[in-house]
Amino acid sequence: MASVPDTLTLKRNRDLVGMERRPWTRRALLVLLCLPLLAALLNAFGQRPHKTEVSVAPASLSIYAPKRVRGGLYYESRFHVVAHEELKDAQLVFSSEWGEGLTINTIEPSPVGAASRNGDLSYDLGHIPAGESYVLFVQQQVNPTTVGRRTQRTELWDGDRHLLTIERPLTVWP
Amino acid sequence: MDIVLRAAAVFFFILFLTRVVGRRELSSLEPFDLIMLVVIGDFVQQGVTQNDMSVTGAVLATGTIGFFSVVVAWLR
Repeated sequence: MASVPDTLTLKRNRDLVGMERRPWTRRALLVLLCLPLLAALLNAFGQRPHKTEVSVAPASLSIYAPKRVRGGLYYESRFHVVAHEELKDAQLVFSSEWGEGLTINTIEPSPVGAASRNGDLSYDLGHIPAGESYVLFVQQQVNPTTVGRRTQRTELWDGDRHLLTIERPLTVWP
Repeated sequence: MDIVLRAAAVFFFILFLTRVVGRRELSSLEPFDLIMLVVIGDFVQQGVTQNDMSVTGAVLATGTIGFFSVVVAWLR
């Protein structure tokens, strides 16, 4: 009969003494492993888009963009302005949180003008006749080193007249 | 969400691929097979994580692969 290798003992390696709980420990760890996967399927870590809409008498604005993203991801933010009244000089103003740690790859259609407005990003959409809508697509990417939660504010103006504000949280997972 | 689905899809494709290719013993691998293993790993990474550079994405992808490895081993 062959002898047992030096590093093995019959008690531990054949009879598994002291490891009776191991199968249940493994099953518990497997369940633990499933939890983040289920959370991910339920969009806990992004990047499924979410729609936020605010409507006032002159116009309505809806934002369709993810609220949770991860480093490196490309995603789209869609801004839909519907003019209930004529907007002579529609402007979308984004707080700096729309650009901080995020790369803005492209904005389509190109706004008539872009400027800084007291630290915010202001995009001039131009004239929107009553009953018509304007859809702005912003393609973005999360910088890999960006982490944390911020509130992104979006304002719609008609010239010097403030129409509405939308505030949305954005969580960037590490 | 999609990273879990992509990892699951790729896991089952690789499982299918290894069954189709046939050789299961490491001793029967040739140098070309070893190179193919590395190349497949590179292709798989791009398909699963795409441009995701986050730790969260890595945990989800590896967690999905690990979970299905246990499930498939249990079903055998």
